[in-house]
Amino acid sequence: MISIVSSATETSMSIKPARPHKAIRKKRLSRQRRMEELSAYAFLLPALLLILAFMIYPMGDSFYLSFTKYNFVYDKAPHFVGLQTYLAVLQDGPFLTALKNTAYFAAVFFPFLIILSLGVALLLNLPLRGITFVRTSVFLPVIVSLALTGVIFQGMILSGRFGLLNHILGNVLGLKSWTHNWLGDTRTAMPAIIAISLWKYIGFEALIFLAGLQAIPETLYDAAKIDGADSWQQLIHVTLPNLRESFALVGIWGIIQSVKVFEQPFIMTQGGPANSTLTLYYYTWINAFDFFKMGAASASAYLIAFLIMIFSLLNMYLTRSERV
Amino acid sequence: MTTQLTRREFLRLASIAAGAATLAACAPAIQPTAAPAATTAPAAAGAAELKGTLRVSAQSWIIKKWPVEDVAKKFEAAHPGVTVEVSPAPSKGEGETYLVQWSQGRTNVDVALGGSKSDVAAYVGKDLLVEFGPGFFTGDFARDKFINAFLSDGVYAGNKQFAVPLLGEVMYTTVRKDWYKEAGLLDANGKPIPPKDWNEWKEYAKKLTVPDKRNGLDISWGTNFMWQQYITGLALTKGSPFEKEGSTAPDFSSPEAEALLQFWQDIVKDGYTPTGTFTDQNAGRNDFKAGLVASLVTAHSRWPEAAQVVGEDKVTAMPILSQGRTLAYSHLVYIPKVSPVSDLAKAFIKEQIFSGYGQQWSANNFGKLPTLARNYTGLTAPEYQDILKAAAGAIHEPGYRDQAQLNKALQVELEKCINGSQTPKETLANLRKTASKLDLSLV
Repeated sequence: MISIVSSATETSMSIKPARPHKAIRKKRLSRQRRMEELSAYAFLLPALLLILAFMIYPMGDSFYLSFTKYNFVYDKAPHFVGLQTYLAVLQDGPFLTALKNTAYFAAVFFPFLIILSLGVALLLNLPLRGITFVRTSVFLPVIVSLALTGVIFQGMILSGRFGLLNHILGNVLGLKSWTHNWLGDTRTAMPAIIAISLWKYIGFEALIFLAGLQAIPETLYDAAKIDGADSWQQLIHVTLPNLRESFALVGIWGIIQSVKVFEQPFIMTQGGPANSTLTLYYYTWINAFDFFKMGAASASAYLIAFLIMIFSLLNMYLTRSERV
Repeated sequence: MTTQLTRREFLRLASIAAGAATLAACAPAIQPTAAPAATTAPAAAGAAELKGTLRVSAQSWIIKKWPVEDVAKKFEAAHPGVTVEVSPAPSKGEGETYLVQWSQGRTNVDVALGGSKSDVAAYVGKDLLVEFGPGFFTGDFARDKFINAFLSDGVYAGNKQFAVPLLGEVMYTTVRKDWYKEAGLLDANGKPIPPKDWNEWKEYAKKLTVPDKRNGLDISWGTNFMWQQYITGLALTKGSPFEKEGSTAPDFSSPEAEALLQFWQDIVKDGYTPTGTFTDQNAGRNDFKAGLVASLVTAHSRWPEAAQVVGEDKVTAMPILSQGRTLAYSHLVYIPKVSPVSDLAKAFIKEQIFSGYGQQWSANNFGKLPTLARNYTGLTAPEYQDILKAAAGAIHEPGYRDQAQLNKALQVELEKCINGSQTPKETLANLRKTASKLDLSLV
């Protein structure tokens, strides 16, 4: 404060009025910055309120519910039981079946998703004629809604009696013994759902890989060629190490899709036959909206979130350690 | 002259506007009941006094198979002061919109059409429905004017009527007459002869099966029918779905229960019956219409539906077994307590839902049974009389508090049994174990 006043006095007599001006400008600047900060918060406010109302509050509320016993239809209010809800869910037979089924889905879906989408991306990166059309075709399943995908595959492609797949196998290829009720058999229902999920999601993952591939400088390949690297060596020593960022992104997205599988069994099999396609998300949905057991549903939802977090952290750790 | 806002004023205004917009966005999407400005006279009063807006919702299949929109127009024409709005309702499995809405004291519907006894039980359990008291059942709508098998589906614990029947269904067999004739399974009058027991059904299924071409028998085992199939099977062979006389617990231990499961397992193992309905609820009716199965055990109304596609002379209906009781059930109509026009809703139900026009139209076009005895006049197909007789002696679906959990367990265990991965004995033991953990008191 003192310095500003003295500067102002000096200014009136001095030939070089730089210092007092600087102080005033500084004051103005800090005021302007405050106003800018305030306006930033004002613009953020609607989004923050929405996040608070539709994400933070429901998350907090369901976290509380996960420690209660609460049937939405028959109980007047949630009854706090602590960790008992979690213990009951972890000991529930259908939850363990759902956990096993989800693990099976993830164990097959995730590696296939990564390998196939990388393969497709490498193919799409080739300078071939008509590649734009192929790229569009590969991406097309991504924009088809998952519900519609389920209806089409259940009724038109995989149906035991009227399905296109059985028609091709039996009537076109003459492989009558290969025809099957794909979704109605406990042995083939989950593999069928995995195959459909791959068809649906590969396009998106391939796009991320493709963006990564196109960001690799051509000079790296030129240098590798000069050093005598063949195509395979270029892939291993140039392409893959430079796709680390893409792998991290694709990995997290793939993990989430692997664990939160819901629409496919909901539409195509209703979790059957004999719970063979019951997944963790579907288990949660059934508890909440069929059985109205909101405490158990919230607990299982938090268990799923915990699983996703663990796998995501693992993925981040692996990709990070490679970068070092 | 223009007035310029200072930055501070602008920020203040922007914050208020953003806050208001957010609060508006947080407001319920479905507006509360205040909208219909309801002024209604009791149903018993003169028709001319009725006024207001009535919001009717119906599950989408009902809008197709019952003339809801027509009767809405008729009601408006009969009461110039009334406006009726018809909208599709969420189907089972689409989330419990009504449960949430009505619990919060809001509604966008005054009369809801559709839902079985166990579907409606959740609303009854939460005390969300208007009771149809003795005052409703008078004159032309006295209890004895109804088909009791359907009316009693809307009765819940405490002998209270919380729903009334829109239409009725009876568990029956739809059969291909021409193939039954080839197999020598028609009587002298050309009517199919119902089998006496499960063993005879196995013989029927064998005779009617043509390998690689068609199956002799299909049973609706989808999630929408497994519970009904199970209790129908028990009612047919032992007269009741309950453990013992005087009990309301489901039977998972009798020799009849084991025989039923053994029959189901055998017909699948021997290739007489497909299991497509496990994952596609419509597989049985589609297979029948496509000529891929000779008999279909499900709701009786699949018979006229199939006749429209296959040909009336080729399709008929027959009891599942020649003796024993089958299951009759209704699709119900109910009024939420939060509706401000419940009297108008009751008047609509009496005048239009129970009208000969609506009930006969649905019966003639889709085989859905009228729920009032007088509406059977004019239904000429001889099958109706047999079906009505079966309905009169039928059992009703018990509605348990944990019905949804029981249904789910039943679906899983019976699918395992039918597929042959566990024996009927093991299946029943598993069901007993699950049932012991559930609240099976009646709603």
